Amino acid sequence: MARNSKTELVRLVINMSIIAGLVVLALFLIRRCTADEDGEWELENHPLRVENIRKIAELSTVSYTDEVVSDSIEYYEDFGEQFAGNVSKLADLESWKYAVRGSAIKRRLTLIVGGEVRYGFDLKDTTFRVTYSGDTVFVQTAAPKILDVIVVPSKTTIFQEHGQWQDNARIQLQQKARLILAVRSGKMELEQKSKQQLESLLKKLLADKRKLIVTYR
Amino acid sequence: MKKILIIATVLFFFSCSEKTQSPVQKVHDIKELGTLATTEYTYGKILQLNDDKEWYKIGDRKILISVRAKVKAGVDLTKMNEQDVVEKDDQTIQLTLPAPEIVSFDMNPNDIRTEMQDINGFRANFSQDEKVKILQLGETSIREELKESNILSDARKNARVFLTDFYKDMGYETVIIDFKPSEERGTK
Repeated sequence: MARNSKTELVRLVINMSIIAGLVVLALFLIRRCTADEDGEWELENHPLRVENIRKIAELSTVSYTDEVVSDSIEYYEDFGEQFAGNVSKLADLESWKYAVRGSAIKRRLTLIVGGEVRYGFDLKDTTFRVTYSGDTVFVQTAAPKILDVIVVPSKTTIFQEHGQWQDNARIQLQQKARLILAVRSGKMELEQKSKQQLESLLKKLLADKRKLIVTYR
Repeated sequence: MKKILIIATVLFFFSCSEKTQSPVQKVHDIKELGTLATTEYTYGKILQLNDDKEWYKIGDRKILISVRAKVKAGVDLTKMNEQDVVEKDDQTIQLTLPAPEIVSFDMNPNDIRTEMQDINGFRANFSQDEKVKILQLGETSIREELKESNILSDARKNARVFLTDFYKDMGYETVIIDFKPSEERGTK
C-alpha cells in the first residue's frame, strides 16, 4: 500500500514536471514568434540627397561633451485605474513584469543622451574684422557663442521603455537633453577658454614677427 | 577560548566594515578645438526597414523614416605647426593646411519623422528602442555615403577663399595655400 502511494507520488511529480516544461516551451515559442528583436537588421538602400549647401566660416574653439538622463513618467490617476492597469499589464508579455509589484507608474520612457556643445566664433558675422598697422594685426570679433549642440542616434540609448510611446515623446526628451547640455556648458565658463584658444590659433596663423590684438564686441 | 573569541570579534567587525566609496566619476569633458568649418551640407535620407526575414515570426513589419543630417567640413588648425606658415617676404605668405575633414555631424531630432509603418500578423509595434536602433543604422549609412559627395572639396575651396581674404586684410598681396595629403577620410 505504502509502495503504491510512493509510485503515485513519483508519477505525479513527473507529470507536473512535463506540464511545467510544456508551459515553458509554449511561452518560449509565443515569445519567439511575437517578440521583435532587432537581430541582424539591414536597411534598404535609398540614395543620400544633398538638400542644402552653405558656405560658412565657423571657428570652433572649445568642445564640451556630457551625458544627460532625460526621463518622462506618467502615473495612474487613482487606485482604480492603477488596479485595472496592472491587471491588463499582467496579460501582456512585454509589460507583466511591471505589474507584479502593483506599481503606480503607468508608463515611463528614460533616455541616456550623450552630446556635445561647441563654442566658437562665427567669422561670417559682420563684427569680424581684420586690420593692420605696421607689424600689429587687429582682430575684432563678436563674443564666443554656442555654434553647435550635437546629439546623434549613436550616442542615444533608451534606458527604459515601459508602455507605448509615440515618436514625439522621444523627440521631446532628446530636445530636453540638448537644452540641458547647453545650460550645463553655460555654467563651465567656456567663453574665457574660447577666447584664449582663439588668440592661440590666430597667433599660429601669423608669421612670427607680427603682434596680435584681439577685441571682442 | 577567550583569545579566539576576541580574534573572532575583531575579524567580524573588520569584515563588515563599509567599503570606501570610489570617487564620483566625472562624465563631462572639456576639450580645446581649432576647427575652421567652411562648408555645411544638409543631407536627407529615407531609412527603409523590412522586418520580414524570420520565417517563424507570423506577420511582417515595415517602416519608413525620413532623416536629415547637418554636416560641417573644414580644416583643423590645431594640426598646423610653425613650419606650415612661412612669410616669403612682406607681401607674400605661404600656408600648408591640413587636409579638409568632417568636423561635425548632427542629426536634429526635430528633423526625424516616421513617414509610414505597416505592422501585420502577430507582430508588435516598433518600439522607441527599435526606432533608435534603426536611426543608428541610418547614421552609419549617412556617414559612409557622404564621403562620396563633394563636401570635402567644397570645404577645401572655401577654406582657401576665406584664408586668402583673411591674409589680404593683413596686408599680404600674395597668399599661397597648399593642403597636406588626406590621412583618412573619416567622419567625426
